[in-house]
Amino acid sequence: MPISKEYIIKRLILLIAVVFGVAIITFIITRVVPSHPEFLWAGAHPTKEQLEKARRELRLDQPIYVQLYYYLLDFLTGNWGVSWRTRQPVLKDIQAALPATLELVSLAFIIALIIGIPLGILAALKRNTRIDDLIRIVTITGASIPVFWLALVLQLILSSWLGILPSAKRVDEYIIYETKFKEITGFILLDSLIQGNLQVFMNALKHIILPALVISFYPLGLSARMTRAVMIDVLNEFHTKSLAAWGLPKRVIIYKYALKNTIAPVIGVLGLSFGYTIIGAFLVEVIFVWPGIGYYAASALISYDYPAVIGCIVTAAIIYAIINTIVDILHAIIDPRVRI
Amino acid sequence: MSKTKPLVVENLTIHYYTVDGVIKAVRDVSFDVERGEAVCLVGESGSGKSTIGLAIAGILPENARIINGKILVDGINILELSERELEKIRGREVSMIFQDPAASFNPLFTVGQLLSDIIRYKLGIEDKEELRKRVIEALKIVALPDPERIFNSYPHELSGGMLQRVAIAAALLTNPKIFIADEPTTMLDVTLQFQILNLLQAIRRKFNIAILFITHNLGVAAMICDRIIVIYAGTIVEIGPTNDILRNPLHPYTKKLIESIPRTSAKISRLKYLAGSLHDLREIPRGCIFRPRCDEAFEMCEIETPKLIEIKPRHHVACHKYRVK
Amino acid sequence: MFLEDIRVTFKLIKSSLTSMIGFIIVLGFLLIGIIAPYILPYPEDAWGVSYNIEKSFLPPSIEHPFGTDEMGRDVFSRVILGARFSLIIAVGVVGLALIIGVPIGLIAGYVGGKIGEALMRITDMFLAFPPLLLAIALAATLGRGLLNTVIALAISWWTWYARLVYIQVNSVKTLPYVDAARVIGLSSLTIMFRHILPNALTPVVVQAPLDMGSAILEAAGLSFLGLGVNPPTPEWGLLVTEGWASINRAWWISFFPGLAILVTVLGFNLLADAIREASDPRLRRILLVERRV
Repeated sequence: MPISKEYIIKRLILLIAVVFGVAIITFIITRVVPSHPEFLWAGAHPTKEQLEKARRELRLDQPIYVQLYYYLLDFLTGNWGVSWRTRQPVLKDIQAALPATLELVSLAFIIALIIGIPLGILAALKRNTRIDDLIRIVTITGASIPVFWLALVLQLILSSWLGILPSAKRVDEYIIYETKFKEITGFILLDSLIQGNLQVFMNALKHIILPALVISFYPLGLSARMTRAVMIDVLNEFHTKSLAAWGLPKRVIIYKYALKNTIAPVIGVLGLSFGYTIIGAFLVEVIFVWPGIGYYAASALISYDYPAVIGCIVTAAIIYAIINTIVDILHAIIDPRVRI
Repeated sequence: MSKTKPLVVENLTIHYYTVDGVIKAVRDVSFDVERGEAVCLVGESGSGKSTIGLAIAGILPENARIINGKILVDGINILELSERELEKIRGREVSMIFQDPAASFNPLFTVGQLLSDIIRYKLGIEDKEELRKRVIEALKIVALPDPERIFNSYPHELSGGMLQRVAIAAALLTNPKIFIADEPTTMLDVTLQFQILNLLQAIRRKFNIAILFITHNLGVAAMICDRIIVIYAGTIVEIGPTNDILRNPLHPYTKKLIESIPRTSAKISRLKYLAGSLHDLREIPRGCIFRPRCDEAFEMCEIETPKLIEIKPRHHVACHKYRVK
Repeated sequence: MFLEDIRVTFKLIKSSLTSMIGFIIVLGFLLIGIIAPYILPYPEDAWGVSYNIEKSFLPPSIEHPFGTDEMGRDVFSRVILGARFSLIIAVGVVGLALIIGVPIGLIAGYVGGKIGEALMRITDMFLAFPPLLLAIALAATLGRGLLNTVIALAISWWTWYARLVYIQVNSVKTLPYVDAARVIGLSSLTIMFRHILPNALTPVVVQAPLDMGSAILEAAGLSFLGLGVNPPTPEWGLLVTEGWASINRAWWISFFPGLAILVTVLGFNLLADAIREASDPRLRRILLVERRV
């Protein structure tokens, strides 16, 4: 289906505006809200000189719009401050940690969709039967579990007690050395497949499956409930009746026509599901010592490393905005009415 | 050449199950339609006329139950068919168009895709070129200009009138024996109404199809139908040839219907209307169901339900005023 | 008509087992939350002011159904008192978010036009952050504590209600009866309060109590990251976190508070689901009396 270039351009402009908005809101939170911002930016136990230095760097003696100007400049040039814990530029730390989180979050997202959407369709088709009730309980429970608690419990049972799965990190180091594994994209699963290194692949899979499953619960439940609701609406729409009257077989009406109408709005809210995987990563990476952004942010929070925390949040927001843009464009491709 | 009538409905009784109770929407309805005949089912909202149409087309909603009766399409009782067999009948022997053309189409598929799919699944034709040719032909039959452009159009890109024509094309793709039209012109403006009605007449003559036309508008019914069935609150109160009914309406309800057609005459008088509203169909009272709104009622009307009696040739009425002694 | 809605809603809640369970759970939670301080088996343990090293790490038993933690405190009491804090947080967050969001949504909707759209665009910026992330940033800035937690969560939530109200007001505004009211000569203020407001508020009123479950979940998340309430407040999320260090030794310290979160939020979500199904007018009318198997 052809999609107008204007829509894509419009959407990209919106993306830029959103990123801009994120930057401004972050500015308000970090500079305007606190009464003495320099305390936040000067580290855990700042000396008087450090505070003075922070005050100068933040240009706190200047009027707000000047501060904002330099802030945006810093923001766009990648000058996001220095982490007090690692003594590295925040952006550099984040770049190093990003692939781990992206791999985890992507896998969790895929799991959530592959299981969640078909469950929702099944529940809609078998509405008000016991299957529907069962699926409803499973999905609603998924949306009610505190993700960090689930991680702790499953880690306890599967790692500590039963020893089936490893409890920490992305992969066992010795395998990397032994099999001379090389990193290409930063996605261990992908890289190992590209190099045909099955040992590393299996090892990485064993490490990633538990955190990914845990993170996928909430978006899984969400996707299933959403799909079910949308599909029920679609099946109640009048055109399913008329198409039946004109003789289309039921399976065609459901699996070709109604399915498309269902997928379209579900895709529209996929972005939100992805957002839940992001927050899942923030909460769960610490538990599995998964060297991603969530782990970095959690460590930063413990050590009052404010620049690092803010950097992580802004990164997450930007990724979220990008994903939402992609999702919106996909939605417009499927549903021709959206192209305004 | 089969001698069976395309449509015979016998003692049809349909109930709806809702959270507020059981609605006895259609009670003991019987009629038939001959080959090439156009019969109108006339009644107000809630009279059960649409329900009858849905039942014949085989697309009753989930919460409807057929309690009793037969629907014979070309001699076969479709109420006894399995879902698979019924699927074969739909669109092939019986087809239907609806009141809201825009709602009748799936907005995410082009009109061409839909009509091609209908041919593909009903006639087993897979060749894309052949499908496209047939669809374009069908679009031409319903007098749509520029059928190639319409083939590639999405429903929201077409006007209501055009969509209704496409709907007619879709319904006729496989040459059904019975064509049901449920208030097809109600949502269109007057000029379009005439066009659609003329189109239906032309199609009827050309293909000798039996048409069941459902409407609340007696005037529209008069324009297209050979016979009129007047239905009130789930039962038939009068059946007869159109001219007969219009000139000599027998049932008080029919008389009121005719009276309330706005006329542009020299005398400016008050608009006539029928007072009261439809009975609550969860509780069917004793006697004639029209009694509360009838100004010709008498004691008998409260006690016994009137049956359909043939008063004149082919003209039946269910009213105690006319008792064959 | 509103009473009619309540009657049918109750009927539907009772018709399904899951919604009945949800209803009971929520009722139970509210009850326990309110009377918690009076039913604690070990009050000093609950408030965190006691310290009995010899009783630490006791597994679940009759005297301590949920065991004891590293300081010898009865976990059961802490969980019960935690219900009250969860209730306070839930009501606080949703309440504050409503207080901020509803007026903004109302004004934006009533003023309408470009200004209303612009206002909504600004509020949409808040939604550009993934869920909870904005609250983390705020909490990191404001610091720990019960009040800060409520504020941080409420600020990341209000936009949702503002949006809901805005959409409702917009659709109600164009209804004919509003014009009718204006024609009769009612002042704008009267129109807004007497006619538009009740309609605009309905989806919010339905949604808000059920959002309390999500508020509890998010507050727990904040506590886990060290941004929520201060110890020794027995908030459920914080209890899970405190038990993390000794989880291999004493799984019950983290397990039961987390279970409490799960059950409570589950109750809210089941109820929310039932009410959502019940408030869809189409679904109500075509509901089958008999259930298919």
